[in-house]
Amino acid sequence: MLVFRLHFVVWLLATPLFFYPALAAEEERDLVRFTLEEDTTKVAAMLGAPAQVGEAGPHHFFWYLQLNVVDDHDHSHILLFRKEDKRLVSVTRDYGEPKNVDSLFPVAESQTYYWQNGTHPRWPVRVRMLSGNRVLVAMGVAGPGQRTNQVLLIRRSAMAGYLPWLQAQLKVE
Amino acid sequence: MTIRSLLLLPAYTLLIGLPVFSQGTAPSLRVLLPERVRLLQGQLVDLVIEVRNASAVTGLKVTAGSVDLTANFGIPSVAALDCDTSPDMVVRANLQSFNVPGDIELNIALSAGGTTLTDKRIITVREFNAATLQRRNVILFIGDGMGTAYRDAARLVSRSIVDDKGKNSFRDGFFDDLLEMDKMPVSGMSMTYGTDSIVPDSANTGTAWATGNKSFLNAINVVSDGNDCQWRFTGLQNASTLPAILDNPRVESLFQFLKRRFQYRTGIVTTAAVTDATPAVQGSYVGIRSARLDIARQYVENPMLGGRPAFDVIFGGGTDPFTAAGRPDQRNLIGELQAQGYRYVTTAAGLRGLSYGQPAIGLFKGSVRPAPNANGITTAADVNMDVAYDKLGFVRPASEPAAALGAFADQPMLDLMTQKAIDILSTSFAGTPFALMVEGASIDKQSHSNHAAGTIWDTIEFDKSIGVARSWAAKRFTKDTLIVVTADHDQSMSIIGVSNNQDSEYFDRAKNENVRFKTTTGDQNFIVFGDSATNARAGLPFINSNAGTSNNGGAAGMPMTFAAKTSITDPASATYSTYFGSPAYSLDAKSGYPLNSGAATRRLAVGFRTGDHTGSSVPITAEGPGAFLFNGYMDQTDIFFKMAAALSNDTSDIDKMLELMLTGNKYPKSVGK
Repeated sequence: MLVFRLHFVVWLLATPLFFYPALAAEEERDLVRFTLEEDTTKVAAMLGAPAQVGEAGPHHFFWYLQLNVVDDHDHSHILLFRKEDKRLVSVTRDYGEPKNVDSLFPVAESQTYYWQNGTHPRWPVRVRMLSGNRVLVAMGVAGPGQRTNQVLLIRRSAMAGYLPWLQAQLKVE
Repeated sequence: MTIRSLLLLPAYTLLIGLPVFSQGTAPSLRVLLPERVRLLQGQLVDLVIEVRNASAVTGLKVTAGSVDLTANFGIPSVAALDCDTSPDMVVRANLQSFNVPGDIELNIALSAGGTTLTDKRIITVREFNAATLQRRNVILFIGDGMGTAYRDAARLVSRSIVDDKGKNSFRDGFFDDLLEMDKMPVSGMSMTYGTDSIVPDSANTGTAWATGNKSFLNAINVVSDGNDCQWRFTGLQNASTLPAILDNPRVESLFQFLKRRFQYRTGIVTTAAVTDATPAVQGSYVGIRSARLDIARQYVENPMLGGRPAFDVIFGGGTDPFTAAGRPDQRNLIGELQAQGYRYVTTAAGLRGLSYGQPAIGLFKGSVRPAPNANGITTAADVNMDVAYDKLGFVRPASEPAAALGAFADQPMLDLMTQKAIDILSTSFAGTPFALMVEGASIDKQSHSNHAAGTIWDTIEFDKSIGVARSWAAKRFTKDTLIVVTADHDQSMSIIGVSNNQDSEYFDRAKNENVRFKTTTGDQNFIVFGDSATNARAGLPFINSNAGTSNNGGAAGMPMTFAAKTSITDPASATYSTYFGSPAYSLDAKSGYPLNSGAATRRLAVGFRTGDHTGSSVPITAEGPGAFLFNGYMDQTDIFFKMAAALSNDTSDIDKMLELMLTGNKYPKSVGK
């Protein structure tokens, strides 16, 4: 138990708690506006044409969009669609530079979970359940005031496949 | 949430019930090797077998020709493939090799769900015979993004020098003196396509020349596997997906192969962070190039070398992932290397002071306060060294950012780093040969942001480092060093003419115009500076539906055809894409680089069509024993096998032919070569 606490302390020390500018209003809307019922036609109307399209295993395909972010082959929006009905499964928003995303995670509606594997330091995510069985996840964020490069919006039903460790913890609750 | 429930997480992961989507229920088998896998004799590779829709497998049998490999495989383990929840299994035999040259048939058979499943691959094993090993050195120069236009630009700028009598060293279409890389006798072209894209990146192109096998975008010396879906198609590259990022089948790099089997000394020299993709392919194995904390770890405890360090020399930028402060595990990797006898330097002065022989790590730029990134697999910043133009102290044109060396004012030039690396690697007590990779990294990085001066002067710096190696090799009593110069991929710059931009507008940051286009398909935002006549940026075809900032590296400029309508520049001098005239530069006697200022300067004008890589083939030139192998059009993976062939074969027959072409008067020679 002491080991886990130490790792948590190490993590917090290594990722200092700074206050960074909040997301712009447009950046806030950018992610949560998706109901995850959108199909490719609707998404193209919202974001424009993807920079890359490809197979994502037997059941899914992906779109990468490069809006704002310029760094080799990084992308600002990574969208996963089901093959069977071409509807969204998840949207990953990659900010490039780390952002404070507190405005997307009100304290009363959000909770922190930890991934743990062997001797690796615990790794936090901030989670908010949204209407329509959507889950919003801030990567590497343990609480308010921290910043992240990435926020994920995903169907709750897809979490067993893509975030099984987090799905297991949500089920335990 | 209790600690106990955390401990049970791996078990939960395996026991999750309801399937989300499941593939067909019939079991299937796949060995994770590309269709056209090619290996060197003795080169290590992970053999991984995936069995879908099966909760148990029995009767595994793996043969390679007449050799039974079954006993090399571990116990089948439960896996989560394709991000569905159907039961899957994986069976691995890590770090296998094939010791007989030729085409070997790999056959796999097992039983799952009462069905016998099979798969097979033909593995082409190329000879690398210790008995014929020539004890040769190899120095590989990678100009990142250095397509033909970049070599042309470096030549046109650095070899169009006007002397004090007004004589230009480029006259009537001929140069008095060509680039160092131009003077190398053998030339070819390399096709750079990846497995999943015709426009590649530095990671999968590096995998091609480092291992002899192609892979997917961002991959470092690994091929794809069934749990890539966890991170590759969702972008979720973080601590929780790191196990899936690190378990892809690995293919050993040439540097590790040479060090492990033949005690070669190895080194990487780069102007990027040393964990950037191009140096990373020499000493690490990860699914995504951004896993820099693990790339740094593998440099110190390399999986192909039994946990020994990958390199004897590491010079470049990017201190952060080697520091305790930059790593969640708080390992001080610099200290760990020092404890093994490595010397550590952080400045050009320190580098100059290094004596011969003993291994060394030089990290010349990093963050003032290193910290881990929130994703848990990289550092908050990936700090590259500053570009040549800034290290020289030259003033940047108006549209390019001013130099910001900060606390790192004493960074070495690439030619000094190259010279020191050769000095150290070539002077081992045992007299072992060496393999060195030198990268001019910001040729590409400056092209992403369409910084013409930054990229051209970096290409000149890169060429000077090639000169250092050529000079060293030429002085060797035994001609035992193969030098190969190529690019990993092309970039978007073109040579479009010559500009008479005057210094008064070229450098004036105060004179600029904002130009905004709002269309139904997206917005474009530009700032047009007076140097746009010399540097025509990418423009309108790019879509940016998020208002606020432009979406590509051409953000700071636009094609002169648009700029001319309202430009602050003199329309008469703003000659966009002129064919007329030749460039003219003066030489900075102190540094040996062309100056980019002065009333008599006629600047090369370039244009960037995009802010990204292209799918065009790239030039390759070679010199030294076995160089003739690099003649003609080739696939990028061939570079690996050609280098290996030059090191392990008596190449005197082709070397004599090349000598015949180069000497005497029978055959023509280029002016300036």
